[in-house]
Amino acid sequence: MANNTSGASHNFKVVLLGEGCVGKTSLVLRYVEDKFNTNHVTTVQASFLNKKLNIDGKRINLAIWDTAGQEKFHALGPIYYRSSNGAVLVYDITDEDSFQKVKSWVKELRKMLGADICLVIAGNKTDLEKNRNVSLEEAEAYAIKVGAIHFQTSAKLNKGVEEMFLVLTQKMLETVEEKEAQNAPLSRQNSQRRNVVVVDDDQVPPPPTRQCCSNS
Amino acid sequence: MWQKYDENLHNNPFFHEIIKNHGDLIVKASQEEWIICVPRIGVIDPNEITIETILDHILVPSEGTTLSKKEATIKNKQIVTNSTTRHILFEETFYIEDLKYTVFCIDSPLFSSRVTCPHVVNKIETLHHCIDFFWSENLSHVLIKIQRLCASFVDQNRSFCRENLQNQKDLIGSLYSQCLQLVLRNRGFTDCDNIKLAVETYMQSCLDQFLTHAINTVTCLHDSELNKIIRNSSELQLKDLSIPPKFCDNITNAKSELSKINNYVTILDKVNCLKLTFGHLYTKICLTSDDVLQLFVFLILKLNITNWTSNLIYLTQFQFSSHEPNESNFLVTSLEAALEFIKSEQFAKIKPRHSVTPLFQTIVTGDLTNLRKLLDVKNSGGNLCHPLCDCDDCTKMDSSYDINSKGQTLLTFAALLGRSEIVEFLLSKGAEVNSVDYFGRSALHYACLKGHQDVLLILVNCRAEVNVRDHDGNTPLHVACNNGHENCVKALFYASKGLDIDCVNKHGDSPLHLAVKWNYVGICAVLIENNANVCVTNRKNQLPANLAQNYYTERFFPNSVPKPPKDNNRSDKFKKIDLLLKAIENDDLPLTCFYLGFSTSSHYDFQSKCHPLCNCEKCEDLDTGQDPNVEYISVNACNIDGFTPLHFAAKFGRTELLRILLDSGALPNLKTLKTLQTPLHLACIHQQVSVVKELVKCANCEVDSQDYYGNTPLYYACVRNDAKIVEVLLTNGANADIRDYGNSIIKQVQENLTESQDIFL
Ligand SMILES: Nc1nc2c(ncn2[C@@H]2O[C@H](COP(=O)(O)OP(=O)(O)O)[C@@H](O)[C@H]2O)c(=O)[nH]1
Ligand SMILES: [Mg+2]
Repeated sequence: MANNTSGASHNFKVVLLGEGCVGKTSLVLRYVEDKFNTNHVTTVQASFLNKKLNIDGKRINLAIWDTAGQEKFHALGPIYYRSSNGAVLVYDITDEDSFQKVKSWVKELRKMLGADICLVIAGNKTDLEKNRNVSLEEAEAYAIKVGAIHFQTSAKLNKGVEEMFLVLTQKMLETVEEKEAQNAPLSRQNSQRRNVVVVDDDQVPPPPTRQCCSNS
Repeated sequence: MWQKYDENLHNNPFFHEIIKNHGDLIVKASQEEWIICVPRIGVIDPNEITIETILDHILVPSEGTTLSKKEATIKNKQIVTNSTTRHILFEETFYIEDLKYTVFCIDSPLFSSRVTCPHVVNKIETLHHCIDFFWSENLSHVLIKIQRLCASFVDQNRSFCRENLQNQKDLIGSLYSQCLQLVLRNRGFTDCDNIKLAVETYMQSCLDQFLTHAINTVTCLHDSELNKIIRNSSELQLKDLSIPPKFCDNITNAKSELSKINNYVTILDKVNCLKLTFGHLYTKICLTSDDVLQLFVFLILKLNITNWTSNLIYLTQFQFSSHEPNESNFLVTSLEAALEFIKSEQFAKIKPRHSVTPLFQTIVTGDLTNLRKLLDVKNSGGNLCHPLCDCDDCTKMDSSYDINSKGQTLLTFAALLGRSEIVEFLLSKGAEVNSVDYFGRSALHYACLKGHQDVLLILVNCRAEVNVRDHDGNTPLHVACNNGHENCVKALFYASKGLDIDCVNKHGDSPLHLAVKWNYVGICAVLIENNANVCVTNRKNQLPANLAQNYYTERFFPNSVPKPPKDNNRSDKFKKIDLLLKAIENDDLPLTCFYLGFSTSSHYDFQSKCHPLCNCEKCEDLDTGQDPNVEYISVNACNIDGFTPLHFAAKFGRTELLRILLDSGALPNLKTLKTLQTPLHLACIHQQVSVVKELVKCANCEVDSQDYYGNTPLYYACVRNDAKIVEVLLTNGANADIRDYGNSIIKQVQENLTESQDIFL
């Protein structure tokens, strides 16, 4: 329990966002537990998982949050992603709609959290290449445009999963270190948690994005 | 919030040795996907870190062996070898200069039969863990100081509950930093996170209801709005919320766990309650975030908790000690999301499914024309066998016999759905206004239940019975109050003369009880204005005033007596014992004796009694003028963790008190609940020589009692290297050959201790 204060240790929160059934839960379970078929997983809770990394001597504790994916829960997104350091936006390469959904998440995250959050876009299920419906060039070009890193993954075949989380972690480290260098004493944590459920009800929680899939 | 074991492996001598002198192994491990096991810091003697031990600790998973070719398999977060089973405390993946390898930090070395002190996971998940933590860190003296600070805080902030949220937060925040300073003043910064957490939790327990009551007050309106939504959706079932049926089995347990959330006053305990709740649901089932959210929604709908917003605000805004995105944070966030969802439009769209006939379907769609047509056809007689036929087929045609599966008539169903036009139409056709369904509820009940004021007025105008009671004894006024429909409560008063305002249901609750309970301040005001009786007690002997949880509802009962003491004598008793134990800790002999009902004179004397333990009437009188009205604590009473006064006297070395206790019948061999330790264990652990001497003198003292880990008092004396105590124990017959549950014997511990070694020879 000692040494948490050594300064070289970071706690990062990473959320997974994306349409239902694109493979978010599978990606997390593959990464942390190295398991694929969730039906065979016992006594593992798939919604919150931890992973410790040590990158060139810097200790990082990743807290990976899977989010509720059903459409009716869309408006609850901000409750889950606030004060995240990184987000993995997942789509299914066989499903064009799921890619549009990623775009709408990117917009929302950039609007709410600005450049504070590191984004990774994951085109999952590359083992189903023959049914591909989202072109790789388009996806990569889009990622570059919005300042995200694009990865191709397959939770099923364990392709690209570890690399994706590693690169995301490195990026989060850079962001935090840059920030620390700029304004040393400013603490990030307090600012975001505070404006959540304030009792003088002037601040309604951010409105659910309705016209978001307009494809731009 | 709770800390799992963690250490920086770069400071671990075992790991350091590998990095420094065996870089080749690291490179190889990276290529071959070997796993390096590192015993946690402090459990391996630096002299023993040889190449053999290192090879013993590198696993080759593909072969199920170590590099030293001994069998070793990984199962359920454990490493199993022929001789040992070790826990994996955590796993860390290293990425260093293009190399990638995995390290398991384990609780003790593999293949070693040496006794290492058992790894006590320093978990802090409840208030009791916090208090234990203070003791184990030798900080117990600050507990009383924190108590005093809190008491004076309560005293100085009489109108705290009416401050706004921000001020409340600021005040509590500064109280917290004062408490923290008490501890940090004379200490370095090791284990800082746990200290902060323990201080904050103990502070919250001292503030007790004072803080929760204040937050209830601030959130009163929000909670009453939320309660209204919850009450009006309470009939939703698992399938309406699309919760997979696999959860059915465990949900009752989860429900009873979560129903206890208001029994706890600290954030730590409340969060632990959430964790336990979902613990019931994790079993064998993979729980996704969608599941967690939906299950929360379902549990909230089904429970009788009246202040969810208040609980949420407390959990999210009043924790100053840590904000890590850990599991408890995730559960609290899911709770927040669930509450937000219940308040959303999306939730309002979820309706219980009515399975209905075409006739009832017209009411669902509000299609009056079609309803008329169907009724005309049925009543035209043309379709009956003959005009007066009452065979089964024909009676079904008669509109008054049209009832659905719940026994509701068309009128009742229309009232439930708030179709006022249809209600009027049916009444004009002569529908029976007071017919009741299988729950004994009339159309008026349902209008009130769902808040359809227009329907209510129509029904009352058509002489609906206003004081009709359903099978639970609820009147329409009860259900309007329970579901928070102020408009209906007002309409009932306005439209009807003989309204029975103090009628009680089968739980003995009056409408006022219900309105107070769910924080419906507006309805309380209407009821009080109309002279509702404030002196009705329900089956649990509660007045409406006793159900008030915040300033706004309490205000209606200015003359009310203070709350009757809660009827859980048990926790009251534990509180008393805690006070007694504290007195022992503080070395306050007079107070201790007072609690126990002993004479304060230090040489307790029972010469005059029939026999030492006699408590015949005559002897009781001789007994130092005990006040018969005061309930004294028995000498063998224990606190919630099983600590008796004798344990405390032993632990803190109160020898004089110990003698008094033993003389008055304290049993020397009682064990604590979790650690299974006797007073003798504690005396050895805390090196209280004179206590040990006193205890072993008792004829029936078990010198070799084994605790939870299988350790005897002698073991602890050896670990502490206390020659004096070891000697006392051995001369009193302690057995040095007892094996602990890790199958090691004390003599092995002895090997590298010097002072007391020769005693064994
Ligand atoms: N072929 C293939 N199927 C996948 C892959 N990842 C996930 N799936 C499947 O997609 C379905 C949805 O996965 P899940 O992880 O529950 O998605 P979520 O709703 O985004 O959490 C499951 O049946 C998975 O077995 C993948 O990489 N390849
Ligand atoms: Mg999922």
